[in-house]
Amino acid sequence: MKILVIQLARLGDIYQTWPTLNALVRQGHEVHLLTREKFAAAGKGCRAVHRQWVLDSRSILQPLIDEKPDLETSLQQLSEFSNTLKSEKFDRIINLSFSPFSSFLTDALAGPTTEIKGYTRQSDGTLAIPDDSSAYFYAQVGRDRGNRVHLTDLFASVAGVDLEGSDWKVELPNAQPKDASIVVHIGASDLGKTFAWSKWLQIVRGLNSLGSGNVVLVGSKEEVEIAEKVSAVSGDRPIVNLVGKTSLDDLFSIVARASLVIGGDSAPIHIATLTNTPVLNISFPSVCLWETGPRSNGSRILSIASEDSIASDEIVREAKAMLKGETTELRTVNVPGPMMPYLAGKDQSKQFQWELLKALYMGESFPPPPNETFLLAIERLHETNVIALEQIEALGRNPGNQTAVAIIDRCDDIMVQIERAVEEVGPIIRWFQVERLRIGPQEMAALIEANSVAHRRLGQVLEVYGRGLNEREVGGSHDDVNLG
Amino acid sequence: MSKTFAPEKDLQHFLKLALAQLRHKLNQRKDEGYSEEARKMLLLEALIKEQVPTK
Repeated sequence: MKILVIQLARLGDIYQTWPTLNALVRQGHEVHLLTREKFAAAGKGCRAVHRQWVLDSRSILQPLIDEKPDLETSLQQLSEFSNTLKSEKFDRIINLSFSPFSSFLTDALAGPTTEIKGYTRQSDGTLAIPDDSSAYFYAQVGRDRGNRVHLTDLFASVAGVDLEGSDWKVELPNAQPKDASIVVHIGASDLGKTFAWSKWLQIVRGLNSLGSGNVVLVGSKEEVEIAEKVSAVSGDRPIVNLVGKTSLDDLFSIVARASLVIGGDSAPIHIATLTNTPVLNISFPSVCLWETGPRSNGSRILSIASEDSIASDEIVREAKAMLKGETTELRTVNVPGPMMPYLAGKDQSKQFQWELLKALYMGESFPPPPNETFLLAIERLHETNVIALEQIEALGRNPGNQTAVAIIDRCDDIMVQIERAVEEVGPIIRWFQVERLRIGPQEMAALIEANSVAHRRLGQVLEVYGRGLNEREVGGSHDDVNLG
Repeated sequence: MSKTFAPEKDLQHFLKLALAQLRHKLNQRKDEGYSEEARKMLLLEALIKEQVPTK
């Protein structure tokens, strides 16, 4: 099968797509990859890819950057690009980008028999989410949510492949034996994912004093100035400053050789996953560690609220402990390897939402309610849902009933307000909203029936906790609820 | 003026201008629904929107 994988996100997302690309090739498919021009280098190293296509947004938008924007030329260039790709006649398109543009592009590239996974468009131009994994992504993925399915696994799930150990490995043409070096990535794609240079200076100084191996700084050209300040550390051994001097291929070799990689959520930690190099990942609140943390065996994730919430000495001690295979008193999320879930230890934040997601999507039992407020929110949701169902039935009797439409809209607003007030019910409301969003354009009668089914399914979920309202013993079995 | 080296604020200005023009054209064709022509314009609109900061 000839497959196009669309990955229009950044470097880290492209590296997290590699295991899926490898799995598709393992299954015998011819895999093409579409990336943006700016991040194309991250796709070029993947040997699984038969052909890489590049979206050059800059060239397409260039005619618009003028006193008189030339829309026609831009439209023509974009059409030529999509026509060229469409003429490849892909059997399957897997869109792993989750963006509005990628959904329109997927729709534009699809032929009448193309199988589509990931976001695309309905026949009336509204968003279409054909597969359950993409629906899960739309509803439940992102920081401040309860999801604990890693992005790499979600990509594989959207593509419909089961990852194997070999899918995570990368072959390096000039592989060199491991040494004791510690690779430090001092930058990140945005400043919310890393420390200020002064903090890195202290950390690098501490790492250098360990005397275990060279401290190697890596990063992009934009980080050269910071790197010069950080590398000016007095000590017996000079810091190896490679910031702005390496290609992504070089980075693979450097990371593969190292004993440890230290950094925020950025490309080097995802490269380390592919070379199975342990990572000490400093995870800031701007990212969700469960979704984009490292997967290499022996890695640890330090989740911190802010730069000031951890001392540089503590990070150095943790690094030293990792090199010796020891533990410290710091609370970390530990990584047993790419095929296994993280070991969260005492980190139980959003545990209830995660258990609720497992019940809604993975067939597990519904967790007991976390508090009375949650039960109150469920009660209000139930009342709102009953009203909405009554109005849908009224619409069924008279499709022109605008009052019913207005009340249904109001019910939607109330559900949003309930979600804002009680975050624990968020997974249920978002699941319901997306299931309704997935109802495509159809005849009025079918539309009314599909909406009615969605509301009835919501009612079944609320019933699980509704029983608890009366009996004060909640923890219902999934067998009672038909979500299929 | 140089097109390629427009400062960021000019770039944003031009992209927003193009976005407004596209929206106008789409409104003129709204009776056509999701036609082939509308698809192309919506595709370009989505690409431009990725470059323009949102609220």
